[in-house]
Amino acid sequence: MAIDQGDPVARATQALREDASQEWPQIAESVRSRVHNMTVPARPIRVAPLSGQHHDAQQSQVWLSSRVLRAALRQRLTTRGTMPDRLDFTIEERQLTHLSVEIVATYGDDLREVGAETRQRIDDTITEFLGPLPGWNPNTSIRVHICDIRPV
Amino acid sequence: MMATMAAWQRDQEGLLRAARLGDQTAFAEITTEFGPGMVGYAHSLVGNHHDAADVVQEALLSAWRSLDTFRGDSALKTWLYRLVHRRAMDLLRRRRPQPVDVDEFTELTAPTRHDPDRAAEDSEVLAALRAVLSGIPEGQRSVWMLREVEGMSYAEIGDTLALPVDQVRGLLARGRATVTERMQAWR
Repeated sequence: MAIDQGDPVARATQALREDASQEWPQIAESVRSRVHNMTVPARPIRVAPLSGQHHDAQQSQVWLSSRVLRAALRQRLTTRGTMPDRLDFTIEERQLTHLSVEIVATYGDDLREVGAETRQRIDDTITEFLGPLPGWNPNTSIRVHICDIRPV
Repeated sequence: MMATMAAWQRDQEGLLRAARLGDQTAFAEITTEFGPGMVGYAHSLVGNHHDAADVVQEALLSAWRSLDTFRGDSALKTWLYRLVHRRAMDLLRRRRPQPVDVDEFTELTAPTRHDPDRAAEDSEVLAALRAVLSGIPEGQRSVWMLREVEGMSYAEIGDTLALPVDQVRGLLARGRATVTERMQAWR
């Protein structure tokens, strides 16, 4: 926008915008740091031990934070044509029993394929991070809801 | 992962979706877009850089914590500015009342027309505008800033400040008249 140099209000307004921009980088760095260090609510999820028992030979258990699983799923479900909008875990007695995802798909894609691929990606991620969970069935434990369609 | 993303996933809505699921990089992109304006707005309300920085930081941290509850009923921009406004008002309420010298701006000497140093002149005219803004009622100042500096529509300003559009229009008219009149010395 052209500034009328003879108009003191216009000049001062422009200077006001530029002044704020100069202050921003330092504030942004502080916000980034504080966001990074902020504790996000998370729940522990039991990881399936290799033996199939709740405890390993040393009687210890391994837990995974739902925050870690959420981040992994967010990354793996963000593809050229899809993007997750919401991820909800059902955790009973610290075991993941169900997972519900809302997905944004791309206009023109076959939604049944999108659903199947999303389900497969989720199942692969769950298996990789938590191992074979007792009672876990990708067809009934995973709910995929396509909540929006966006143009390419 | 970024390389596989389509353009729609990097627009404001896509960034918001990613940030809502904990993507700090997406949140940083959102703050980069709106942060500088939020700082300018906060400064006009609280009157100094230090408090403005605190207000904006608290507003953005609050936004990060409550992104999950933001479902897009209002625009992202007006939501963020509303958070800034609330925190600035909280801060002003905590402060001891300080008398404002409404004629403070007149103490600044208007530069001569032939002053060769435009940067210094802009700095002075900026200080004059800040002084003028600090001397007008808070409602007029908020509306003036959101309209003249941030370019918001009347409806967006109403959404940000929880005011009916007619009241926004009235506050803006009074704010503009006062600012223009008190900046006349700089013509």
